[in-house]
Amino acid sequence: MERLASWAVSFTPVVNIDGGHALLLEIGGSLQLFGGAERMQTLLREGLRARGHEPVISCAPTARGSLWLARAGIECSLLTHDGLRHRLLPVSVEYLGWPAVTLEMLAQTGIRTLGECVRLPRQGFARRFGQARLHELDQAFGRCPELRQAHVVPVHFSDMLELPVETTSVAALLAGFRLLLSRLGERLKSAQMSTDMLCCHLRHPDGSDTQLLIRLRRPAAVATAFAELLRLRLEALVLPAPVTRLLLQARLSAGQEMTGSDLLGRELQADSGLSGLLERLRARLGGHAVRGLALADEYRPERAWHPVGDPLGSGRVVPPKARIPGRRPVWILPEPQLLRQDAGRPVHEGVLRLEQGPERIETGWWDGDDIRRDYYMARNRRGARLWIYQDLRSVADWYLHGIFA
Amino acid sequence: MRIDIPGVECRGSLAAGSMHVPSGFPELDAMLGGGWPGGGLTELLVEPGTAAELALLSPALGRLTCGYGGADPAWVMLIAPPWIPYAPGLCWQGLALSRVLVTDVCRAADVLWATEAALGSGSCAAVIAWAGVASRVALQRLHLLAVKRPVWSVLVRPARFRRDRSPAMMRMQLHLQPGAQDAVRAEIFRHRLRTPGTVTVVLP
Repeated sequence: MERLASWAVSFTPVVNIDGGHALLLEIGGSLQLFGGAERMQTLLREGLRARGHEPVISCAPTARGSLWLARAGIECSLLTHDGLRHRLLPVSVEYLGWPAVTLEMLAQTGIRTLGECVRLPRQGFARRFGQARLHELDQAFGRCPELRQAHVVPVHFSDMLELPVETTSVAALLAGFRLLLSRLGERLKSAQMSTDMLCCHLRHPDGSDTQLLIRLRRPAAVATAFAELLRLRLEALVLPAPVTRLLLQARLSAGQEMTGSDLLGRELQADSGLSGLLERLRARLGGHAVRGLALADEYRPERAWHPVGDPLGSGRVVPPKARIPGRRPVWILPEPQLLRQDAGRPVHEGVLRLEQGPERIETGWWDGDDIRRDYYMARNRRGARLWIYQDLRSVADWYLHGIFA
Repeated sequence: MRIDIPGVECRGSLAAGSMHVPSGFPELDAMLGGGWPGGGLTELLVEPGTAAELALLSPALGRLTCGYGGADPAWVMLIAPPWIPYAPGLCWQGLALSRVLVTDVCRAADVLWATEAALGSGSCAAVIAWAGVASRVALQRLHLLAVKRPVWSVLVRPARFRRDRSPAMMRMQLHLQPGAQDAVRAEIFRHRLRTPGTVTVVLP
């Protein structure tokens, strides 16, 4: 439906999806352009058939009126309110999309058609079936206006450039993309739009494509914002073959990012510097390379924290030492490391001397991943302080889990 | 002229060495003339596997992330740490986790690049990076970036690079003290503005 709505935008900018099965197009402003309602219906029908749909198309002076007619399977092209009224009156109430309870009440009252509905006293109708139903009737017959949210269609930008010679040179590719980016920039400027995602295709002589997807954390209205990221990605890219053609696609969205400063200007600017940094790091090092840290409400040490994918999202500073059960090391190993033993004593670069502990951590019985460990702070021969534990569920194996210093 | 970066004290001028982040260790602050120097690269040389550097840097990182002396909480970036920075442990050391960023780097060459990017963006009050081999030119670039901005930048490197020439503003080697309880010896063997010396610090 989204895709159809996007397609329908070529007929009119005001498109609305209703209930997942109906598309509403406000065509009043487009009739002349397309040569009248009949011609437009023909075009719509051909287009929808080509996309594998068999539509019922009703054209009427009110949105809800045309929707109800179409649901009832009545194809028509009505231009006056009188004509609409005439066609609506015999329509059965079943097609109005009203709740089953309402339909049952209507049936009990012996009301089957819209015409019978509108003959009822307005006050009485509203009291029995709800003000909203009465309002819908008014909208359908054009007695009160209906406001519908226009479907926001993702607009796409797509442009390509044939390269004069086949090349793998980053400088040449970048120069080509810069040209495409400047065209994108012009489009963004004229349409007052911004973009947060670029798809760059590099076409090889055999027709295959190498693709680069570039995302920004915030939509940008200046295409140059991408040039630097693109350069990083191109430098990191290993091309399987020379490139003959460049294709740039972008998803555009309405509105441009506010530039300049306001009362929070300083904060906004500092933050955008940081989000810009994160974008650069992620562009070169991978999407998961940068993360924040957060505590988790868990006693199992390996689960007592979790990485934060969008570290800039949380503006609030959480004071430290909030929920730390005890002294914890600054480093933790990805997996506890089994330690050798010397006469029952754990060894890691020499026999370890236990200095503090034990701290018994026994938890997790509810999810089958339970632990029973005695944690110690231990010191090795070189003076390093380690966080080790004895696994009490096994045969008293020792593990290295973290490092204090 | 005054530069305001949260938590980094600026005394009077832009000149290198005029900014400090109190280290949290009075002996070390005295030796460094007020705290960890901003506005220039600090090189911290450690024996591989020492792991004491983060505990040494933590009090200062804690101050920056929580905001102190009326300053706003500031972001700190850890680049290519040798193990996983353990959130509860950092929290215990006094860091506000919501201002800590960790960047993982697979290729050694990317560590210096990421450090350069972080210093250049000017959006972090502290950038701590664990690096290995670094050319003098690369170090020079980092140092120049750090000089231009009020940022506390630390490059942690293996002690074997001590003999390499380095443009860093301050170079320090950490020595573990096998006998002494929780103490590390911080040997400042080069400081552009202060006389070299050694100080023993008891880690928390």
